Amino acid sequence: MTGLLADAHLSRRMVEACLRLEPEFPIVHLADWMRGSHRVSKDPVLLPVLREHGLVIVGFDRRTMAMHAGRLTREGAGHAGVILFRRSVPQMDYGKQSRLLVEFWQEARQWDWADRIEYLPRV
Amino acid sequence: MAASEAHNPNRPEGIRPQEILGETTGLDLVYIVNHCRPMATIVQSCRLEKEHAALISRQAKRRHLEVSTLSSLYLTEKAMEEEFPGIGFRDAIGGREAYVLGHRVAVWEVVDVYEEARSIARTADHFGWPDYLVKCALAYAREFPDAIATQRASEVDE
Repeated sequence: MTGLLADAHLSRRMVEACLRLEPEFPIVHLADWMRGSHRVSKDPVLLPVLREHGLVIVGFDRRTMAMHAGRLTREGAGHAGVILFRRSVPQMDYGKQSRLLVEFWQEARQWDWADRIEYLPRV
Repeated sequence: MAASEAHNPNRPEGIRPQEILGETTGLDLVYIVNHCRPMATIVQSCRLEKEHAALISRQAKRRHLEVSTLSSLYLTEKAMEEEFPGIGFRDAIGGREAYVLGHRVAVWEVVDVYEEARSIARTADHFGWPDYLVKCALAYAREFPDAIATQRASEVDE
């Protein structure tokens, strides 16, 4: 099953909020995943690792992340998926972030996430 | 006039945005590092051991940079890292970007959260960091507000 990985600039409090909404929600924070061994990894290193583990990365919109993901797609290596919060979402509004993500994932967990980039909230 | 063509005080006269972004140079965006700000420069020579010079030469070739450009970049960033412990530099879509060493978080992202949090303690709590990491990032941002604003602008659509 595809899981979600919260990037380092998201707070663990957002992850906790997701788990309060849905105790089995498949999300882990980067700092906690694999004992934090990828907390320092740069995007070009992290994305291929996430592909191997079938983890969709969740973070705030950064063009660099989309650029690296797009490059992997163009090169044929691919990535496991990216979900980006639009900058209209406050960084410390963990409630809004978690509601957006949990609600979205009800539908999106069935999708093929290979090479997919989605933005929240959706328009 | 398109927004991207508006007057930018950081852009040298006579250089178009496309040139800065590498569209006419054919270079990768992230390696266009020294063309964004008019700044007086001086020539400063130093001696390197052969093997280190060869290493820098190989790295410059890999990045499609002149050896002198890469040497200047390394020297400047190392000096900054000494001056601002905890701050490092990495490639980003708009060029080089200051970030918090040991983490994947850019200095401008720390500033963004701090502007919402309005306290170092709450910002540190957001990231799950000790306070000193936030202070390091904010100290660097205070010293180089224009660079931080530029790095943020290159990453964020608003």
